Amino acid sequence: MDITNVLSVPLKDIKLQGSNVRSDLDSPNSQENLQELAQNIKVNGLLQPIVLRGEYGKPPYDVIVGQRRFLAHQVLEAESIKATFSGEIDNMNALLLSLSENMCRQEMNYEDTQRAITTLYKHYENDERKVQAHTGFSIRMIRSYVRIEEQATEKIKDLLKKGLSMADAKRAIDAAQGDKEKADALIDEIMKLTTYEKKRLVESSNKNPKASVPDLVKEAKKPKWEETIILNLPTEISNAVKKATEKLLIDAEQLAMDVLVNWLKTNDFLLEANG
Amino acid sequence: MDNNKVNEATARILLSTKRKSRQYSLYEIASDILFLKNELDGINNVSNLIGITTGMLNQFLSVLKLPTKILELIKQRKIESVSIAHTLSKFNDKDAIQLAHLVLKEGLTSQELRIILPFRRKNLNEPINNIVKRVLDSKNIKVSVIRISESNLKCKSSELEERVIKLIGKENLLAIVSSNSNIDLKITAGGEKIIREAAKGQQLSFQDFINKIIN
Repeated sequence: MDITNVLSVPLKDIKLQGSNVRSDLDSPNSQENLQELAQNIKVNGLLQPIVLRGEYGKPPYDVIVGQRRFLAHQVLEAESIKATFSGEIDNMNALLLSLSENMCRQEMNYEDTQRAITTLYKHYENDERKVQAHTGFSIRMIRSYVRIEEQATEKIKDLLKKGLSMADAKRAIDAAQGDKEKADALIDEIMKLTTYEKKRLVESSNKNPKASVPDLVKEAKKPKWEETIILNLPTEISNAVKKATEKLLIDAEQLAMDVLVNWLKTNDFLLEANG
Repeated sequence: MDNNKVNEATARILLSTKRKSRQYSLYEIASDILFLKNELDGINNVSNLIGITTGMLNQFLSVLKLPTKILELIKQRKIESVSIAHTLSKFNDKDAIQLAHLVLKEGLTSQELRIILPFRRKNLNEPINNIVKRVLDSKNIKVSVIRISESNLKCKSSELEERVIKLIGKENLLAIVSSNSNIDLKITAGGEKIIREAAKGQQLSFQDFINKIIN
């Protein structure tokens, strides 16, 4: 593959056939960005050629890298575009090329990222580290995408495409404890809750997996008391602590820790570490 | 490229990125970062020069998107947290101004702002004050429990309640619970603060002050 040889390719010979990882080009935001990019290309020209799949002279060619630049040329009604050729490569390599380019640039939407990660995950036989090496995503993030793909209901997957956060999807899956109907009912409620309430909902479902959705929501809406216990010491003990800390030049917390450790060892609750 | 100006801007940023030792306001730092971004052809080069991630630099830059009223507060150094400024920049101007005042008056934290943001986006027709109230009311309540051994209590329980209410106010006393030979005084975090300040005022330790109350 020689991608240093830049050629001028007629736009009519290029057909989008899905080698590019991006599918979010119809959103209003993307349309706006596309107009901006077209304007920029009009003023400054195309600074970086696009990468096409196939061999020069054998159209139609598919766009692997530079789909937005290609569409911007269409907006400008240009006749040709500067491009290089990848040669004949398989779908996986085309996806990797497209992915490595897009991951570094404008943030991809959920659907595209999900598709890319799960495709790579299957290709690399569930090896998260290889997916990480190609995408730059953390292992934790990769696991989240894979888990959602495997466990989310169709309704949740659909909502994710419309902007539901991955965190909320995971909460519904966690709280439903494998019950898909419950997951669908939960996701409607979760979207109406504050983050504090969402956390409590998942906690309640862990404590009581069989609780109904209305009960879980009711519990979630009740703020909990987070208690910090302050022990009051009688005056004589308080004075004795003061005396000890002054004499030993340590603070009261350290003294309390030493006393606790000693007591636990003396009563055989804590074994001394060897060597 | 004006090397002197680049060096000056770099020095100012390096002197001011840590909040506690910051010499310049967030506005000045953000302006310097923008200047360097333009001079050095991109945020990646600024990141390499200063050693701060592009994500953090972009957070500083978001200060420049804030409405004028908030920029004034930033210039006066009333708002110093880049995290707060960055989160405010994600709200519309009207909301951001109201929230900035709540940051100053009510001590709204950056974490609370981050939680308000997605909730606001789902409830665009609600007044922002209702949104803030709804979010804050849903927070867990931090309770300080002062555990007193019943044998140490030298006054009646009702008397103790009166003394505590007089000191911290009824709203800060959540409950008095008796169990396992202990009396638990459950008070709000604000109530604990009042007791600590009262103890300090009498030059007593917290423990000694509590002993004084229960005797």
